[in-house]
Amino acid sequence: MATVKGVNKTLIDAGGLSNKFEQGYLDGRVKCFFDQYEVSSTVSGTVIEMGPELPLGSKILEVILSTDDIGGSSTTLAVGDLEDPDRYISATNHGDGSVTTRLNKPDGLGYEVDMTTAATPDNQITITTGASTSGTTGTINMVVFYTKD
Amino acid sequence: MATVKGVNKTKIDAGGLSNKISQGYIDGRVKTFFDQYEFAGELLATVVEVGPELPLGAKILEVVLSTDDLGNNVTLIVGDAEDPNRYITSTDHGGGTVLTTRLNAPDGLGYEIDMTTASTPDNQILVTTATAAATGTMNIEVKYTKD
Repeated sequence: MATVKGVNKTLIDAGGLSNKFEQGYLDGRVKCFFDQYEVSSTVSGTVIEMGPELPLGSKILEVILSTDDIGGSSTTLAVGDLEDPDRYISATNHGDGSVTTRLNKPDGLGYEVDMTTAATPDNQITITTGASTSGTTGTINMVVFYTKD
Repeated sequence: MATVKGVNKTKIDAGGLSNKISQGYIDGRVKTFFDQYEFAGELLATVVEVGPELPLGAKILEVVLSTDDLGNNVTLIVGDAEDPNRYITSTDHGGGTVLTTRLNAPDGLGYEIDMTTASTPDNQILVTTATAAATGTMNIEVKYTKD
């Protein structure tokens, strides 16, 4: 059985100042935000901005999206930002009963907010509605865990 | 394509003291408690109190319930005296395998402890059994924020 090491474990074991890694990736302080949106006949393709603009360098640890049955015949929700609308949660049906969805995209876990492209900021978490949304109503609750230092 | 905003995002963008957001909802410090209970054939409808009485204003962020196979198709719910399944709806934890269940009730995510009714306090997390007698270990972790 082979034993190998993650990127940060490799830095830890190598030691020395040259192996300093980014704040929050070790002994990180976990912070959170909560936001809520009441859906009322929202049309497909609506972008819902949730929570504050996160500070540069924030690393995303978890995203929890819990909703009523928001109806509209299989209405889907995706969670990401303006650079990648489904960076954290891929489009998931929230229109057939109440549903709780968590971060499910590998590239989203530990993603660092970098603001690479000003026109498509990645510091604002968004929910994007998709599929059929006719008659869509209900409550969306969201919690995001992140670290920076 | 329309763009709309969450309740707290609206307050942030509007600015001003009138748009104060409850502590913990932005840049909240995440706290946690863990508790464990060993079921030894308790009868159905046993209520297990877990963890401390949470402070007024605490907001629940996540509940993780992980158990052995408790046997006899025992179901568990997680909530409090005011709403016994506020956080986790009835789930079979005795179906022949170990199981981990997480917060799955929309109204529980971000719920704020308010102690509205003294006779049914919402600051004490409860796990309630149903269906049959339970045997085995139950672990629970709750994440919350207050400030």
